[in-house]
Amino acid sequence: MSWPALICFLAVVVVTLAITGWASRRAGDPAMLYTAGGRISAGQNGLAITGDFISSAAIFGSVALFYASGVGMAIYFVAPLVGLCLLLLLMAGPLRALGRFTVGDVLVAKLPDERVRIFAGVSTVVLSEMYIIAQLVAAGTLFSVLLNVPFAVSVVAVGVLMTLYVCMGGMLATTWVQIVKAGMLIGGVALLGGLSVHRAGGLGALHARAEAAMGGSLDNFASLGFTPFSALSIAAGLVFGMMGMPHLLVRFLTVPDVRAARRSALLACALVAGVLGLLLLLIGPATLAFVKGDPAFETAPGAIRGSTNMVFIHLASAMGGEVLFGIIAAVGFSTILAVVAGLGVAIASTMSHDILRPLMAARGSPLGTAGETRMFRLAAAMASLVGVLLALVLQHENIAFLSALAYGIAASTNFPVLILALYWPRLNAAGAILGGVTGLALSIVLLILGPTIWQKILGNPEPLFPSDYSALIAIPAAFLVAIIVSLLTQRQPLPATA
Amino acid sequence: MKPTLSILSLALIAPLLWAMSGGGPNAGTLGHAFGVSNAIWATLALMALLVGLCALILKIDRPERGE
Repeated sequence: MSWPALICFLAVVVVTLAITGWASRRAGDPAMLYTAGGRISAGQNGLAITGDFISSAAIFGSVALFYASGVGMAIYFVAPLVGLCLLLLLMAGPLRALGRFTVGDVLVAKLPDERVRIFAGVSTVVLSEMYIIAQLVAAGTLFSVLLNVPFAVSVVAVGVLMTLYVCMGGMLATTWVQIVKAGMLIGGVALLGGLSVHRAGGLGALHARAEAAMGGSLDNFASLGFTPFSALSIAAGLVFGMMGMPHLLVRFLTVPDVRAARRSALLACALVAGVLGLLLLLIGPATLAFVKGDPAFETAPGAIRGSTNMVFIHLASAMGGEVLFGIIAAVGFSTILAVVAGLGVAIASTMSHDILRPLMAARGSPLGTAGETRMFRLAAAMASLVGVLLALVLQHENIAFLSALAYGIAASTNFPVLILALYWPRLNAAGAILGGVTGLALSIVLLILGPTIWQKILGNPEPLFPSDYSALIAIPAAFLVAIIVSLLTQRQPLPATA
Repeated sequence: MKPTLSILSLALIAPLLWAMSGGGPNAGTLGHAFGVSNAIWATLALMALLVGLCALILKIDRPERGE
């Protein structure tokens, strides 16, 4: 047990719970719970988007990839950043102009059919829950290595905290948890990077030392060995998945107007680029320079203690001993809390506003404001419970695989429907629903037929689909079906529901 | 908002993504195409270019009245 780490973890818990207590006194109605009443400033929202955007996989996973492969992993930095830039350019303004509480609101503003709202709701819940599971598995793995806490205890603790943040403080508490996380992340990465450069004796010396440890040049883009199809499909999944993730999209509904939405997105782009740039320029090379080959961080030559995902944390130990180890571990902890809180708000608001509210209204018993608030809190607790139970079941699954699945589904389901709804006036409800369903079905089926599931897990000799990354097929297919169905059914709306 | 400039930015970004994609016979050509020998600095330059491009487009492509 690392006492500095435990103290830093507890400090994060105390600060975030204090924020939640403060926010809970202001979060009494659905508007406050869903979008903090639209009163978040552009600067605050820019920081919160940064906190929501950079997940634990982005930090620990990508630094581990740099450690293993050098700069060839840059696609994992550039593609999500491109996604955020395009989100800013193409969607931030229209989302704020059209949306009130959820992504479903945006779609219904363009396609006035409640079935579109329910489709958007189901899609949001499914892929946000998948991403929660990935984050909870990451939390369990991280804390069992860092603090010797059993996996189940870690997962339940994060689930309980997420429930408290979302149920009590709603979007306001979540926003401030994300702002705290962004501040800790930016400060932690800058501190660790600065110490690494200082220890090495300059930036050039740091890179030279990294290349010596790596035994080759850092300047090798093709080091991950992707085929062109896989590389482009990964890029498409990351770029367009980023543009379809509901927990990021709803952040643009928390600001007062379009101008603030776009300014907040631009600030987020700059901050995310800055953090990812520091990881690439300083932290990645520093892990090679100071962790690789050090017996303190290896169980055997070349085998990193606790897996290569831990090299970022080990670098903190190498630079600042137990205290810096504790601080950086707490950065990882706050990262997970911020992301699951954002996902929890997305699920809870969608469940209560997009799914339960219209269903209850259709049955002749409208929820009302108090009922919607109760449903929001119940949905947040259920999202947490389901996430914890599935994380316990899926604890041995690959975290990156679970995250990629969520991004793939977001890219091929939400993104085509949203972008067509915003920019193609002829899209209708039938086209949107069938296009989204096509993207969803293809992304899941092709994943099952790909190398990881069909060959490695199911034991077949050859995969039926050559890549684990299907976005390059699923996204165009979703667009095509949505467009063709819309054109064919221009004068034939879906039959009315009973 | 008029999407023209944003769509144009997509057209600019697509080939950059390919150059960065890490696969195929021309993997990593971005740095070499611009005469940059260090892949880390080339990537950082690309990221700065993206953010700068966004800032420029936002400056030109302001929200319309009532949007």
